Amino acid sequence: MEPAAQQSVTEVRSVTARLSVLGSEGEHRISAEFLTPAGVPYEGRSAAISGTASQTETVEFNLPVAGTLIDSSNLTGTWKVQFFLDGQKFAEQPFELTP
Amino acid sequence: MIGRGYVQSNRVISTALVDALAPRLLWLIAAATLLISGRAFAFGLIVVDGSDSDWTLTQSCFTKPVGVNPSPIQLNRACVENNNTLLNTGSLFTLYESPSAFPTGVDTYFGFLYDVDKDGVITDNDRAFALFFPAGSGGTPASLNVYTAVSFSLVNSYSNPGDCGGPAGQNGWSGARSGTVVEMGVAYGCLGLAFNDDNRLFRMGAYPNFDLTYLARYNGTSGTLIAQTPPNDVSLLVSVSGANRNFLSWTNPTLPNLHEGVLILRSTGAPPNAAPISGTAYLVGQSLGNASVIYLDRGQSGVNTFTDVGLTNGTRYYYKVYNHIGLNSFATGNVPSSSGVFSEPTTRSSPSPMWCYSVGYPSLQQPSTDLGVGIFTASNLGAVTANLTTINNPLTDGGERWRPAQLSGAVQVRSPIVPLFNRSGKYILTGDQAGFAYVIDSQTGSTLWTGNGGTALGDRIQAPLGVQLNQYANAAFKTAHPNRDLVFVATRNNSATNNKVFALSSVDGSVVWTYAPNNLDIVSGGMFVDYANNRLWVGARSNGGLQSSLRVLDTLTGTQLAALSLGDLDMGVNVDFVTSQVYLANNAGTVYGVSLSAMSTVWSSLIGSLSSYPFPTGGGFIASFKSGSVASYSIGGTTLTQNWSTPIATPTGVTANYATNKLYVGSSDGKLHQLNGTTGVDEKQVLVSDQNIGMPTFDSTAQRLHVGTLDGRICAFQLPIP
Repeated sequence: MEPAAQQSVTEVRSVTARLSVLGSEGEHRISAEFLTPAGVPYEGRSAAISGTASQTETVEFNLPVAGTLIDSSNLTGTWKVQFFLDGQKFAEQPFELTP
Repeated sequence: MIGRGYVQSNRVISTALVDALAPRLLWLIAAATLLISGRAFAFGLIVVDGSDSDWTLTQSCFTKPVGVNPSPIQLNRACVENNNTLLNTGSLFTLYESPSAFPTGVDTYFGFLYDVDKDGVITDNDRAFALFFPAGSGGTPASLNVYTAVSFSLVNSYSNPGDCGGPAGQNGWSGARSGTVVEMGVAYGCLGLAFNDDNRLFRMGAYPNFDLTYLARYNGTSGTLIAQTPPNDVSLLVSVSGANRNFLSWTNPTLPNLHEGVLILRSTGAPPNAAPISGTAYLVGQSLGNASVIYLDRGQSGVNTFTDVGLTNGTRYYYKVYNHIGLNSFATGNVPSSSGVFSEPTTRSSPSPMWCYSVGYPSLQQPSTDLGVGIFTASNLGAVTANLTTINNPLTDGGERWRPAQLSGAVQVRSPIVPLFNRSGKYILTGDQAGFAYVIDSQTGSTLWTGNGGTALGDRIQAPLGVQLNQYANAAFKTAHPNRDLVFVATRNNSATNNKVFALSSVDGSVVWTYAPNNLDIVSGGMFVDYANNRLWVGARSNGGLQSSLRVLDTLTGTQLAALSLGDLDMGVNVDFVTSQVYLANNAGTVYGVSLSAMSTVWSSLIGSLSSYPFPTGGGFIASFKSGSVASYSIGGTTLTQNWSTPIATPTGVTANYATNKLYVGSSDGKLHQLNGTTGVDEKQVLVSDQNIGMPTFDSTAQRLHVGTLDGRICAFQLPIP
């Protein structure tokens, strides 16, 4: 969260989802889907990674919050970000946004 | 020993290591002088004897192949190895291993598919090379058969291992089976290849039950096996609902290498919960998890629409579209998201929608209307969309005017549609959360320009773009900017101080001036252009109260004319020409009236946090409160008087039908509410969604409301509401 101490939709400027992938040899695509507390797909992002078996690749996906429709529509509760590697879901992480 | 490389879940975790190659090549050259008896090649290293005892070098292997039908043959290892001894030719060796003895009572084949023409996709132009073991045969195959790679038509059959081509003395094939192991060696000459020309799409398999590996790219020269990532997905999948039908459209990946056809899954109750498995042939009507296959095509099909008919009105149907390339290698189908899209056929009789257009990601901003002609908006999909309004033709009503214009980031701004100087037609002004500003031709969907020469203006654009049109401007503007309009763009950067306001030329998007005071917080709401005074009013946040939040700029030069500290301003600035004031509300709930001429506060009142900008009504405004109500206020001098207040859950901003004195507002209850403009009575409601809906817009020509939804649709409703 940015700022780190905040969870309010009016105060949180953005949420950054950071993912590290170890041993992703070759070219692959990492995708992230942000889901609202009701489970509605809110936004999707993707990034290409290319590494070796011994490398760690890190990707970041940034979700703006304050001043966006999350704020104006008061979409508060437990959000979730799901990660996909070449289309296969392999991780997810919840986060909280409050009024 | 089976080597270091393996493919798992369709991705390579590791393959042969580069540092292993140098000593191996030396060893191979030394071995080239050996005479190897039996069925091994004279120039080969690996003895094809039906055991894996010789597979002690680095090899590239697939994990256990995906078994469509695991009987009678299962493979638990499938490996490939290149043997190049003379640097201009060589052999390809493959190893198949089963967890139990291979059956001998049926005709069996072990082989691989090769992208012979190297076009990145396996078609019938390519070949399958297979050892043929007739039923009852032992460890020696009857022949090496060569087939077309998709329809499996026999091209050649070589019963004599030396007959299939290649340099004299270095040609041929060899194979052997023993218990759980099948080995196979084929000279490059037999494959029509040479060293340095051996980088191909590759797939191993055993037949008759087609236990196939994933597709991979095998480079024999370097000894690497890289899993083929899934083919590209289709893009811009949408659906338009109509009476007893849903009309899907999408954009296929570029022909021919990236697209063979598509497979469409449909489900009800929930999105499809299973995906087609690469290497599997499906049939229309076949069940797959909770879904069924409703369409399938091949042959590099250019089909990019599908009409699903005979459906039940009001039922929610979910769709996922899977692009596929050769050998039924399927894309992820996660378009626009892993949930695909849903669409609900409609009776087209009010209060049901005339149509809904599903894009799969939220579209809560107020759409823009070309009266009686069409509707334009955008979404978090990051694409600007255009739908037709054809009152007298239900088959085209709600259809796309053009395929969505894909931008670089999510779009949450309302996009004005304006005529631009010295151009015919109308143009859509928009910006995205990747920081780019665009002008799009409303007639064709093509991008006229991307501002600042295609370079992002900031981290994000969240505020609607403003414009000062030359044809409506005063003499001072025409003198300063004689041959152009000005388009205003403000940023929402990852900073509370370095945001900027740009004026762009309508001609080509070049920057005319930049306001960069180094103390401007993020701008999220709409700007107001005062044509009479050539002023641009910009509301911003205040960096925790440290910075002034309302800036008034000279539109001709970008010079700051006024700066007021009014707290955090996320919502737009609007003018009331009756009071000659602009109205704005800060995030803490104070509403301000600011003199248009003096640029100073006339009045202010703490009324509560709003969810949208104060909507001017001529001597007053309508306020939508986050706490759950819509209220009307009148302004008398510096006094604010509430006329009425109506409970509406998390209301959006309002839109007005002045002819009937009705207000329309969206809500988190998923309904469109019709309020009486005089009394505020919540007269009628229309259920749109089980999620939030956005701020509606009114088409006075078609007598329709258009509204976007959190669940990713734009819907049209005919008035009056029954």
